This record gives sequence, C-alpha cells and structure tokens, in this order.
Amino acid sequence: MNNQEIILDVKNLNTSFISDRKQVDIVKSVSFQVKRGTTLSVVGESGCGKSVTMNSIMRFLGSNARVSADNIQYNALRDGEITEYHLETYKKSNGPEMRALRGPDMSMVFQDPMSSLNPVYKVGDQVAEGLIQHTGMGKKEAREKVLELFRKLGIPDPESRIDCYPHQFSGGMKQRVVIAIAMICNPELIICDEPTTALDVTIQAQIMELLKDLQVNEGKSIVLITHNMGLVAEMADEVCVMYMGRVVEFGSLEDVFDHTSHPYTKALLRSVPVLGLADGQILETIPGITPNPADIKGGCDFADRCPDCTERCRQGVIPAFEIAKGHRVRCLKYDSFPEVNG
Amino acid sequence: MSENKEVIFRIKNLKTWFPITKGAFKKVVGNVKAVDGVGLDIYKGETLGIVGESGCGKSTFGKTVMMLEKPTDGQVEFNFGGEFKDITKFTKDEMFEFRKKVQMVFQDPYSALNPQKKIYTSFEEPLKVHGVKTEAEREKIMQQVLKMVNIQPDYLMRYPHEFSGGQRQRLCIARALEVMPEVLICDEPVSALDVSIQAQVLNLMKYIQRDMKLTYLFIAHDLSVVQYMADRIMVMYLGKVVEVADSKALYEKPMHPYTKALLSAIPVPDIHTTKKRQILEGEVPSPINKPAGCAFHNRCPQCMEICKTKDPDMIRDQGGEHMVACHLYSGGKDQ
Repeated sequence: MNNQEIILDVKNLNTSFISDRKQVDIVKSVSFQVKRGTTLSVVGESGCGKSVTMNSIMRFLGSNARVSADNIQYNALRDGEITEYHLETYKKSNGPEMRALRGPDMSMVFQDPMSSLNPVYKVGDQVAEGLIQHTGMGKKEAREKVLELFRKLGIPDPESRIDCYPHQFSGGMKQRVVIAIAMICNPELIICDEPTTALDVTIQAQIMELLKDLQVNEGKSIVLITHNMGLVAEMADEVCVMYMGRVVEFGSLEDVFDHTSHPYTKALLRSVPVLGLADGQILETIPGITPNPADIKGGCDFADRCPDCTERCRQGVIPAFEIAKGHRVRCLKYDSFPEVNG
Repeated sequence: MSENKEVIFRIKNLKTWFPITKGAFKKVVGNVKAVDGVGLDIYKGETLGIVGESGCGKSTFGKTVMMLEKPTDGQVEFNFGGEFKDITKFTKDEMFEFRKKVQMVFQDPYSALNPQKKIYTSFEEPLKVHGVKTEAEREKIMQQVLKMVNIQPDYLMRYPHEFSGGQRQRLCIARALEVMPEVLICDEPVSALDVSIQAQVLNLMKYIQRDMKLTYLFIAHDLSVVQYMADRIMVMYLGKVVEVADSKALYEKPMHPYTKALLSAIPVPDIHTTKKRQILEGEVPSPINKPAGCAFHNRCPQCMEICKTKDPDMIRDQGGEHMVACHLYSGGKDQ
C-alpha cells in the first residue's frame, strides 16, 4: 500500500511512564495503519492503553512519559500531493512542528465534553481560536466560519448560541462544540477518544450519525477509541483490539466480528449483554481481573484469564501471526501462520 | 415470574419535587419535578428494571422508595409480613425496622466504601447498629456474605484501595446483604465497571437473588443490561412513567414512541443486523419547565394535536401487564 492510501502509519510504538522511579510500560510495540477515508476503531477495557496510544501520537502526554517508535508517519494529502511527516523525529512535544500539525491536519475529540471546554470563554471564541492561530484569519471572518460549522453540525440557532458559555449548553451540544473545535481547521484525521461515553444513548446516536456523515461525505479519516462493541460494529471499517498495552487482534470489521480469533476478543464479545437474550441465558464472563501493568510477568498477558492457556503461553514475548490478509492475531494457537510485526 | 404475585411495594402517585428558591426569603419560584406522579406495584421476588436517560428521575425514584429523599406527595406502602404500611409517615423507630428490609447499592463503588476504614469496620457497623450483639455472631455473618460474593474472608482486614472496581462493587453488595434484606435497590450498579467485570457482577446478582429470594429494583441507563436482569421494565421520561411491561414484551413489542426510539438507539454488536435507526431530534427538556401536554411531544415522531395539550393517562392492555402512557393507544383502541 502506498502513501496515498495510508494516512497514518505507526510502527513499534512504545510508551512508558516513570512513576516512583520505576518504569511502567503502558504501550508495548504497537503497530497499525489508518487507511485514508476510513474509520479505525480501537477497542479495549479501561487501562489497556488505547487512549495512551493515541495521546502518544498526538504528543499530549505529561513530562513523565517516554515515547519511542520506529515510525509514526502521517501522510498529508494536499491538492493531490502527498507530504510525509515523521512525527517520531520531532523532539519537542509542543514544538512548532507538532503545533502546525495539530488542528489543520490531525485533531482530537476528547471523552468528557464537560471538562474539555473552558468555562470562562464563550464557545464561539474557543472554536475560532484554532482558526485564528493557524490561518491568521480576522476575528469577523473566523466568526462567519464558526457559524457555518455550527450550522453544519446541527447546533440550533447558531447566531445566538455562538455567544453562550459552555454551562449554557447540554452535554450533547457541548460535545458538538468540541467536535467543532476539532473540525474548524478542516483536518483530515480526527481522533475521537470515547466521544459518547459521557452521553445518553439517544444523544450518542445523534453524535455517531454526525461522525459517520463527516466520514462519508467529506472523506475524513477517523480513529474511534471506544469500549462499546456495539459502536464498533456500527462505525468501524477496521478494528484494533488492545489488551494490556498490546494489539491482540487487528483486522477488518468482518475479520474481527465474523472470524473472531483471539480468546480475549471472543470473551469480550460474549460478555456484552445484548437485547433479546433468551430467557434464563447466562452471560459468559472473563474470569479474574486485568493485571496491574506495573507487575507484568513474561508471556501472554491474557494467560491467567484465558480458557485455552498452555505452558508455552507463559514464556517470552508472544508474536503476532497473520491468519488472513490484514488479519493479525497475537496468540500461539495460530503459530502455523506466518509471523508478522505488530 | 412467580405465579402468586404478592405485592411488596404499592406506590401511588409518588411525587418528589425539589423547590427552587430565590431571594433572601427563599421564596419558591419553581419546582424541579424529578418524580412526577409515579404509580406502580412491585411484586415480591421480581426484578423491576428502571430505565431512562439522565435526568429522567430514575435515581430519585429509587431514593424516594428508600426514603432517602422525602416525597412531596403520594404514598409508598410496604408489605410488612402481609400488612401494608405507608412508609412516608413512618416514625424513626419504624424507619429503623424498614431499613433492615430494604437496602441499597450505589453506583460508584469507589466512593461507597470509606477509604480510611478497613473492610471489617465498614462491614461491622450495620450489624452493630441493627443489634447483632456478640462479635462472634457478627463475624459469622460477615464471613457468610463474603462467601456469597466470592471474596475470601481474610480480605476483611484490607482497605478499600486494595480491591479492584469489580471487587469493590461485590463488597458493596455484600454489605447490603448483611441485614438479610428483602429488597435491594441497585442504582446503576455496573455502569462504573468494565464490560468483562460487568458480566461477573450481573451474574453474581442473579445467583444471589435466586438464593435469597430477593426483590431487586434495578436502575440503569443501559437498556441491554436492564433487559438481561429484569423481569419487568419501567421506562421513565421526565419524571413520569411512559411504559411498563414484561421485559420480553417491551423488547419485542414496544408501544410508546420513546421506548421505540430508545431501543433503536442502542448500538448492536453484530455486523449483520441491518437496523433502521430512528434518531430522536433534540434533547430532554428541562424538568423545571416541562412542555404542556405529553412531556415527550416535542421530540415525538408521531405527535398529534392532542399530545400538545393533554397529558396522556396510563392505559393497560388486555392482560393488564403492559401499561403505556400515550395518546396513540387511547381512544378506545385495544392494542
């Protein structure tokens, strides 16, 4: 695949945090690619490193984080031409190179709309800030742009809402404002970190429809971080399942849902209550708890909770195997297939 | 459900309003009508699921049934061994007895256990209060309830921070079970937990219910979780009940437009179902200035003229088990 098709290419990303003079590895040799104009869903339970992975790419982590990678390549497509950016070479997380990219090229929507807006600024000014910063546009012109975007995102009565403060908005409307901030500079790649976890289901449906719209009609590439398997099934083109900082399964939506291969993904899909379960049917559970990332033993991280665990699973680093084209699974059950990076 | 349906709670026209005051004299200028005229019977041994979006009054309803919130109007009658007593008029002593019968599990297991006290101390307190005199007896009960929730008895000497979220929620359930209650009110017991842990806790709650013949009031915003747990489901919108039905009937044949929309908004983890999404416009109106007529009319896809002026009454279908408050089904039509 060439740079035209791939918008983000991550190879062997490692992130660790220094805590109490101890190094705790949170993200371990993660590799994935995001195809242009598609949605990649990153799923996993809390603490599996899905948010840290994306924050490592965007360089949003604190000073106690250590990020290293073989390659974090962002391919911008401007007027039919590809420009490559190698994010891993940028020394400073807040240097001019990163700041130039955040906003016009890649941007992020955060989980909690209640706390990602500044309560003492009008929402219109908060949305316009990025535009003024990046394009040097005048305030008046920027305001017009913001109004236009508000209309597109379905914020009712934008002319009066633009001068409101965040507390005057409901949760769903705040999340639309946050999406507007991410969208205002017209980025190609939008990373959404659990955009609807704090919202009600009916509002979640509205926001998801909006994101789907942006992807289909404007060709945006979306990375959707979530723990809701239902949302994945509805939104994703490709799925990346993470457990304890590693990608355990990666593949197309059909690969992951119809040919579910990793024991963790299987268990995860079966433990979700779905509507219309038969009477008296009991949910399957995953025994045990997710281990503490600070005291990881060797071998497969899922070994203690896995029904198919063997002696071999407890030693060394488990490689990933490609069981079908583009479908990789980190599990020794599939060791007859070719080993791949990731 | 159980054939001989014995009623344990009889709730009539329950209202919990929070006054909004203004000025130095605290003049009441309005009311937040969190629970606004809920009437319902709760049967012994059943699980009644309560669903609705945030702000619909489901938690306030649970708290009012437990008398943690004083109702503005209406009655809650509790079955004390065959005799119904109105708990809204209880004295302190009567309330004490009532609390032994009805216990609550809260949403956030991280804040429901005192971080400075050992589990032992937290567990001992309700037993002391409710008159288990000797230490040996208290310990026996503690061991018993811990066994029920699959936590090793020697963990009693630990502090809450040493437990994971799922374990903490199990501890909270165990503590509620100590006084051998008849009813357990669970306010979003699994929404703070991960999916794999959520399933553990849900199954555990099912087993405990079977063993202790408990009645559950299961409050949650996740319809699929409620459908898994509940025998009957009550759907709330802006403080009012819009539909009550057997959980299977509600899923297979929802009647109220709001229930239909709520069901269709749930993302299904199956890539082969092609579901026609029905997306609701707008948001839940404020419970202070409720719209006139049916509270749902401004978002309802099937809104009629009458909906804008007249609040619909609760209609029962033939069996009397499926109740819905919607004008679509009034006017003599038998659904």
